[in-house]
Amino acid sequence: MNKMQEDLFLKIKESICNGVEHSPVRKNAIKVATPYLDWMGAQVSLYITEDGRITDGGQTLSQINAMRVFEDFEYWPYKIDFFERYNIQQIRGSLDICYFESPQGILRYLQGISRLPAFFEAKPISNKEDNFPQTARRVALDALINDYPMRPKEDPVRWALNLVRPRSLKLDGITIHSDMSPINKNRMIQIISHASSSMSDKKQHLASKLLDPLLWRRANPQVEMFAIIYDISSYPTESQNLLGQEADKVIELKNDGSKLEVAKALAEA
Amino acid sequence: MLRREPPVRLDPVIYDAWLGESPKAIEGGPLELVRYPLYCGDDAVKLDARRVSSDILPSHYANTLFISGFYNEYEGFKIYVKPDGFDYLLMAHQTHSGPFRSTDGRRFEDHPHFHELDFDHRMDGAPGTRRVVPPALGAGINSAALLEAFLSHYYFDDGRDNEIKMPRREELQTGLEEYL
Repeated sequence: MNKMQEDLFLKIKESICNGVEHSPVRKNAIKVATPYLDWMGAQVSLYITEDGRITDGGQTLSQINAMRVFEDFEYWPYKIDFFERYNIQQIRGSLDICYFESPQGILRYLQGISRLPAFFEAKPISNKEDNFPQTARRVALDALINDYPMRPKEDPVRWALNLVRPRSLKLDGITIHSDMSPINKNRMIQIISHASSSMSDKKQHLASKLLDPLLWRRANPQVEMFAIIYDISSYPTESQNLLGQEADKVIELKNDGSKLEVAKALAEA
Repeated sequence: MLRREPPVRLDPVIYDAWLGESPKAIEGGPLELVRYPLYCGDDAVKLDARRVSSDILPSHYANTLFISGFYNEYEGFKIYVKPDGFDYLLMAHQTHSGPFRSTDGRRFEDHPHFHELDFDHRMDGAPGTRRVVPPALGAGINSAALLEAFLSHYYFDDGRDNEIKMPRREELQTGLEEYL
């Protein structure tokens, strides 16, 4: 190393070390800010709690959740490998450091939490889509994780995600779809959307949602169909009657207590 | 044939014009703060990403621009506006750790504030940060008030005609668990 190289090296080392700062934050924790930037151009920080935990404060998964890619993250095939490689452990909503004995382990953790959201492409809501199916899934997920009293103690998030996923079933050469995956294998849950479409579109959409349960019932008379809808009164009378006749239960999300009804429909036999 | 798209540069004049662009339309109807399901606190909320349109920004920015908001247990709610795949253009923070000076010269210790890019005070070529504290940002405001102030200060329009509210926490009557 010549003199010029040594000077530059020392300058880099000094700027990195001087760029690390700490300051007090809520709950008696301290924030450690680094000179590095994360996936959105903001300073990478971590938090040290008063009981000595090193954590991201839940920020990384909250970002992934708000980007509307949480399901992609949960089923990301590299998730376990990534967590191991970057010294991360998930404790419910936060990403904590796994081993903090070595400086390299801390640096790997910092790199991991700052890079993670960039692996997923955000799915922002736009004018082109009907948001109700996503809203219904979000409501169900929230109710299962936070309100449903008999949720499992171990990994309730994964359990809830499995219940709100769509399910397909092969039947004599055709495929039947349910918009969610209730524990009761003979139950089908259909989300009725298109509330802001024209009357003819609503009518057509609702009729199409009833076709799969009808076909499945031919093969299995035990099948029951639950419908999740925001407000049934905004659909044509003919569609309302048809839904009332074909569905075993209609859950209207406009009603108080409907969230828990959705959770029970998913989690109970 | 070009292997990559031609480079695009966000000119400071364009950035300032975008800050003043009115309205900046938010797609998908009125924004809604929802409970962040992985945390239990009443202030744990999130804002699901929404596409934002702009007539002023270069198309590379405008075509992928979105607004989103997330929760941090130790620093509260944060909002950002960014093009997908690139750095933020605007942010709003409910708290600030350590003292800072706002663009109008006032000094704050811990206060809600907005982050703008500062092309006049660059750090090695990259734009710096200027912190803005308009009158609507009172100390200790909740996430809904922060979002409301942010939308109004930067002329975002989501088509709403009422105030943004904190999500209501639905509580279960205790003691009935065994019957549910």
